[in-house]
Order: sequence, then C-alpha cells, then structure tokens
Amino acid sequence: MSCPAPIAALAPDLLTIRNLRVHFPGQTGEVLAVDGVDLTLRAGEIVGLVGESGSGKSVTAMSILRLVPGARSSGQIALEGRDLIGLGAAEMRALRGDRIGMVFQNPMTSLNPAYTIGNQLIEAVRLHRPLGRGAARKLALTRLAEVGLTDAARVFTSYPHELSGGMRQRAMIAMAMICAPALLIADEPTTALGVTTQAQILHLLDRLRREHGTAILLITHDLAVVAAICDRVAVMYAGSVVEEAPSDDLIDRPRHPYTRALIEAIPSETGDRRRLYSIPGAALMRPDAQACAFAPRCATASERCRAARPPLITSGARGLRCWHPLEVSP
Amino acid sequence: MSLMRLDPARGRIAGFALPRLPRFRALRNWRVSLGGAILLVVLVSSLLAPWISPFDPYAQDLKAALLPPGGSHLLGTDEFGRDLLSRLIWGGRIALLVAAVSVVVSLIAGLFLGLVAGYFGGWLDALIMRGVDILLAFPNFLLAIAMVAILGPGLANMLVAIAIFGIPGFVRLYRAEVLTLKGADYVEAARSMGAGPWQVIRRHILPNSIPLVIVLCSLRAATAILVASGLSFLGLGVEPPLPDWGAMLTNGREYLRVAPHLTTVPGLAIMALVFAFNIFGDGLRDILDPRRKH
Repeated sequence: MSCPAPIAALAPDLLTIRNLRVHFPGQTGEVLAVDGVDLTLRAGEIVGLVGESGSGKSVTAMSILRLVPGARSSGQIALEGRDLIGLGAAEMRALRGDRIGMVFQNPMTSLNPAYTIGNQLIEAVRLHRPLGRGAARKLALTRLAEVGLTDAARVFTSYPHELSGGMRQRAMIAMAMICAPALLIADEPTTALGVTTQAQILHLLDRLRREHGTAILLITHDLAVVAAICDRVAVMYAGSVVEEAPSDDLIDRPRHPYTRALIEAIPSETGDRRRLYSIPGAALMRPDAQACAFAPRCATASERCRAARPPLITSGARGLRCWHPLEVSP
Repeated sequence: MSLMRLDPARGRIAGFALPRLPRFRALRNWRVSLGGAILLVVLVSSLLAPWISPFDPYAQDLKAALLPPGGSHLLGTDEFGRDLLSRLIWGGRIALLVAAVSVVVSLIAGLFLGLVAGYFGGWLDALIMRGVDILLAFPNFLLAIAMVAILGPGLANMLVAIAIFGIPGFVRLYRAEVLTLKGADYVEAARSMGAGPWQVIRRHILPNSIPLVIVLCSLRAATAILVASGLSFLGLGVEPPLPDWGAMLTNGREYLRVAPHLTTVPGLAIMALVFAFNIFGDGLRDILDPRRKH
C-alpha cells in the first residue's frame, strides 16, 4: 500500500523546515517546545511525524500554519519557496485553507454545531475562491463524494450531530481538501475513531494524495499507522527529530535507541504474552541543551551523550541524531 | 432528533443559524410555559391597552374614590377614583418599556465590549474589565439612585440609569463565554481554513453564544423591572400621574388600612412579571445549555 519511494523522490521539495525552534515565554521561565526540527516534504509524499505526548509534533505542525498562540518561532519554514515565518497576517490567512489544509484529531468538536456541513464547506470555499453560491455548492458536493461519502447530498444538508464520527472526519477532510491544497496536515486524524474507521480514513488519505498530488504530514503516535501509509517517517523526541528514514527501513532497521524502544513497545500479534515493554523513565519537559535529550532513559548512553548533543547527520535517505547508533543487521 | 432532520432551514435568524432551538419541546418545560404564558398576558394586554382597558386610566371620579374590588371597577379605584384595572393595564406598558430599553442597551453595549475584551484581550481587555469592576463595586440600586439624583427624576432619566447599570454584568458574563468559545476546536479549525477575526466572530462565536444571550436578556429584564419599580416607589422614577406599578404602590401606601388593594394589586403585578422573566430565563437555560443535556 505504501507508495514506492522513488516516485516521490523525483518530486520537487514542497515544504522545507530548517532548524525550527518554538518557545513559549512564561513567568516561570521559557519552555522550548520545539528545539531544532529539520524536515522536508516533497509533493505527493506522506511523511509521518511520530513521537510521544509532549514531544512537540503538534506544535511543529501548528507552527507551519503559524497558529500557535503565544509562541515565538525562529528558523525557516518554506512552502513552495516562500518563507512562512516572515509573512504578514493577511498573506498567511490567504495560504491557510488554500495551499495548506488541516485535519484535526477530534471530529466530534471540530465542526461548528450551528451550521450544516454544506454551509461550512461553502464558507470554506468562499474564503479563498470568488465563486458564487451555486458553484461553491457544486465543488463542495464533489469533495464530499470524493472523500467517500456516498450520500453526499444528504450529508450536505446535515448538521454535524446527525453524522457518525467517521462521517464527520470525512467531512472534515473534505473541508480541508476543498481548495485542493498542496499540503495537508493531519494531526492524529484517526485517534478518536474506531479501528475499522481508522483503516478507512488512512486509505482515503492515501487515495487523495494520489488523485491530487497533495503532500500529507501525518502526525501520530501510532507506528502501525506509519507502517500502513507513510513513505517516510521522522521520529521526534523532546522537541527535535532524532531519526528520519523511509518507513519500511525505520521499522525494520531502527538506528536510534529511542526508535527501537518505540518499536519494541508495540504489542506483538504472534501471541507472545510476555509483559509489554515500556521505556524506563519519563520524557523531560526541559532537557539539558548540552546533552542528548534521550540520554537519561537510554541503555547505551555514555559520557559523551551526557556531555554533548549529537547533531542530525544525514546519509542517503536517512537522518540520525545519535552518538552511538545501533548496528544495522543486513 | 429525527424530527429536526425534516427541515434543515429551520432556526435561521438574520443570516446565522441558531444552535437548534428545540422549539416544541421547550413548551414541555413547565418554567418556560408558565413564564411565557404570564409574559404573553402582560404583552398582549399592554399592546391592546387602548381597547381593552375598561376606563380612562387618568379619568378622576372623586365620588367613586377608594372603591373596593368588585362591581363595575373590577379591581376597585384609587384615592382619585381612577380605575385600578385600567391603570394596571397601562402600567404594563411602562414595565415592558423599561425591560426592553434596558435589555437592548445592555445587549448592544455588553456584546460589543464583551467581544472586544474576550476576543482580542491585551490592554483593551484590561481597560474594559477594570471599568466593569468599578461599576460592579457599587451596589446596583445605589448606583441607579445616584444617577437619577444627578440627572433628576423622570421616566427618561430612569431608563438611562437602569440601562447603564445593566451593562457591566452583561460584559463580564459575555466575555467569559467568548473566552470559552474562542478555545473551541471548530474555531481553531476555522482559523486553519484561513478565517480572519471577523469571520470567526460572526460565524462561530456569535451564533454559538445565542443561548447564553437569550438567558442573560430574560434575567436582565427581571432585574430592570424590579429596580424601576423600586426607583418609582422612592419617587425617583416615573412621576404622577403616569400609571406606573411602582408609583401606584407608593400612592397606595397611605391608604393601606382602608384600601389594601391599592398596594396589593400593583405589588402582585410586579411580582408576577419579575417571577415570569426569571423562571422563563431559568427554563431556557435548562433547555439551551448543552452541558445540562447529556
């Protein structure tokens, strides 16, 4: 099901994030939520952004839209060659929903209960396109059918509470895709859904990127989701990307101790009923900037890990931030 | 729920859809139906006052002064022989006028200031809320008395005083509502679609705050009537010979022993109307507040 990497590799870079740092000034001192994220998305590619709660994946995503209240960002975020961090408020609004779409985690609360689905879709179109109501309605119905809502006309006139969770998430995706954006950010789009619906939504995302060439940044903490549809994965820990690789490579041959620990923490299907593995310790909110953030929880950490922060080293399709990478078995 | 699907266009007012008001179920709530019934009686009788009041409310007939209830004067007469029922019906107009003016002024100023303070925050929020704090620091009634003392008595000045002192409470509650709605997921989703502040306010915050606004208005109306009656009773509000319920109460005080109906009747009228507004608002809150539904 995963798209062969070579196709995506030929496509031009759509989104480039370089050394993104996001901090929240606070009374008790500054909180650094994102500490040096580098990430590249090519057109039509699905990239997974994985990490545990608080690792900064959602903040990274919202920073692309510049919708993190009270945050200060530095570094570079370029979409189609334009630097987003320097854009004015009106220019940024013009990009949101038009070139960048976003799907949120909870479809139960992400649609306004006061309007029909159709009303919300039409409004979304008309924010960016000078279309009349009739033309906007036609486009909305097309998108609803595209996201697999077979009874698009009925969904169009329904209020959110009249739809199931899966249908609402499809409607949300239709709204995010309404202007056929170049980039779709999906922040845990399947977390609030049932297992069967999860799979359907993932299939839908995969189909949409094929049909529209939309690049998808998929934020998740579920490696099974990554394995299912992502071309590449970036693993985040404590605000920075620690490992990046094509998803099959990453799951079969993890090189960062944290990635391997994550994979080991997945319950196996083969009936091995031992106690579930978990990583000792807890992620630090304010890790020492002069050390590897994972060192306190890492089995292979050395003096060097506690004395200096490893840089992100890229070779080929993979990137790694570790002094003592795991050996890759052939 | 299945009933609602039949008509998707229902519940639309002035360009935005109301968060579905369960219209007919509302009448099953005894508070709403009882309060609504009393309000309807007062409203209809006030509107039809020229036609349904049995006598001219100003016509004096000293030979028929201080008549007890019954006979051709259904609720009796006052010390000048004016028909009490007619004055009561005409007085309903003043009570409703006070309620309407106070609600409209508090609503417009309260919505605007609450929105600005809650949505944009910052120094504007600080400025507005400190102003509100100052106004709220005075007891409402005292403030109204002070304002009438400055402006002088009379219906118009009383209206101004009551309307202004209704604003701060409205601002404070509405600001809190705006803060809540601002953090809603669908507001974040709207921003991610490129909606600006104006669209967010118009399409998301205003329509979803309508339940609270309706409740605030009905409770506000009750307070306004109570304060107006109080001011008139103290001689600071409506001046004779206008048929105001509070003023009627004051007049009747002197004849409490010989003609207790002069105070009882307007007193009951004030009580009934305030009670009606209060339970109507309570009932609406029960129906409209989604947090109480599930």
